[in-house]
Amino acid sequence: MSDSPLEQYADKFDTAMGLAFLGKRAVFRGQDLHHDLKDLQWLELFLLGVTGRRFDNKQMRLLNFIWVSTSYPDPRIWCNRVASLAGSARSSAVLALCGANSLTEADIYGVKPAMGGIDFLLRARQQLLQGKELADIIDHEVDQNRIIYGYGRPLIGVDERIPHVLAFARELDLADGPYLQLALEVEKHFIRNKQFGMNIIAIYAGLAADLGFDARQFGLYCTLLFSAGMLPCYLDTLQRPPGTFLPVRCEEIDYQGPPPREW
Amino acid sequence: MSGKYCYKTRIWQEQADERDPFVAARQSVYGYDVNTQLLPGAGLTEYLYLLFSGRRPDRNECQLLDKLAVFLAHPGLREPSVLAAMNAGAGGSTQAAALIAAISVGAGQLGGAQEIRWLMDAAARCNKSLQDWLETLKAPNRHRTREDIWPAFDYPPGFDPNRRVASLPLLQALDYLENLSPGGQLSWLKQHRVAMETVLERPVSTAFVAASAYLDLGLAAEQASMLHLYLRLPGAAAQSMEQGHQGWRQFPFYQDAVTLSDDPGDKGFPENGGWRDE
Repeated sequence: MSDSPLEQYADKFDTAMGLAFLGKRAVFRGQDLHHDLKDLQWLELFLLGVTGRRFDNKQMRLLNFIWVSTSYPDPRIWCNRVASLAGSARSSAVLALCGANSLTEADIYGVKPAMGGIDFLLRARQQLLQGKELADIIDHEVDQNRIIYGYGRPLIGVDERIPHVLAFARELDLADGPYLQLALEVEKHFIRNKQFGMNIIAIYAGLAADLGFDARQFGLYCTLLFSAGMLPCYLDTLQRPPGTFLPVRCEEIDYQGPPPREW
Repeated sequence: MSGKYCYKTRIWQEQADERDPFVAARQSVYGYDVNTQLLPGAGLTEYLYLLFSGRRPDRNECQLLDKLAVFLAHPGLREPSVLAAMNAGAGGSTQAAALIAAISVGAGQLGGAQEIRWLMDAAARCNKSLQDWLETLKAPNRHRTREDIWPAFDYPPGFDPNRRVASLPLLQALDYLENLSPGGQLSWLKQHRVAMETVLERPVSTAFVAASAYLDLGLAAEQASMLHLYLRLPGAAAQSMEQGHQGWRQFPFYQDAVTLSDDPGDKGFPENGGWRDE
């Protein structure tokens, strides 16, 4: 045997996540999938997978509504438009979903802002508990990162999801946690000083932080945040004549490059 | 422009056929007519460079990119993105799934496009200073200020965290490519490789060689990382197809290699399932 550091990993992989004993049973995070977890709703199982935790009924209803509240089957939304184009181009359903979902780790929406948003709240509260002023924490964050994910929405108009999610969280007695309150305080700071407000990411992040999510867990939870809206877009265009989803005329390409030239 | 919606581009231009506004009569890329100039006059490598950079490559750039593409086209059967694609072949998944699997894995920070991007950004800061490179490589997360979809580095990018020696084919490729591009980043890497390997106690990886070549090609970080995703697909595609022909029986399942440390034990089947009751 060589002295390669990889030798210790070759041909063995021990895991606590789970295993299928084909023909016999399957284990999921230390529990028998078919015996112990058969009553779980799918989202509960998904969350057990990414956090290792079980959530109570109220918490599950909130976590479910976060997914529901942002599942828009709107073909104009960039990730959904991929699913619509896939249907129109007669691709398969899984490829439509896979392509569309891959877009949701974007700079301006989806998993990246979600992780950045909760990460800020987790760090900010830690600093508040150490005695720092919120305004100083925010200023430092803006200096360092230019933006704080979850904030920056013009005050004209609202993020339509916020009143619904907040009201539902209150109904479930889950709206009084310190991170959600912090998220709301940060918005007040920005309204006072920058005339812009929050978007739904700050609310989602505050609620999730109050439920004990860390940034990685929250990012994993958000991987399917938009997915329920995608397949209706695929189905819609699949049921129409091929190639007819918002076709582009040649002249709708506004060319701004170099003039004609010789190779 | 008469349409209500339009796509702005510096790359692709079309002139509509008079008989049908959805049919092109002429198409050009960066001002070069596709059918009368690029099709008869350009090779794939030249066209690729033009598409990614907006500029026709000179003879040296074209040769370097062509040979880099040959070097990268098959990352090797054991490489994770290729193994990912082979899993698609083994189970009879779609061909698109094989490439999506290869891209998903090959996009990462260990040997993937994201490592290329980091190295390109680092090169812009380090400007061929060995001292700056070493400081940057020893603290790869220095500019990471918050959690991100990409995990933090836990090894110096461009160096292999799991191997003791650089592979001979990699060093041969570095020599060959450097000969095509003397005086650039490849030459700098060749000159300082051993010094960096000694300090970092790890061998140089393919990513550093590829990133150096992209720098010598004058490409920006996003152009290089996108090209890297593309250039490494042919080997993954070929291995996936071959695995598809061989079938799942000829593909390791690691039956006994994977073990469970948290096992609730066998609880058996329900007694009254009613299936196949005599």
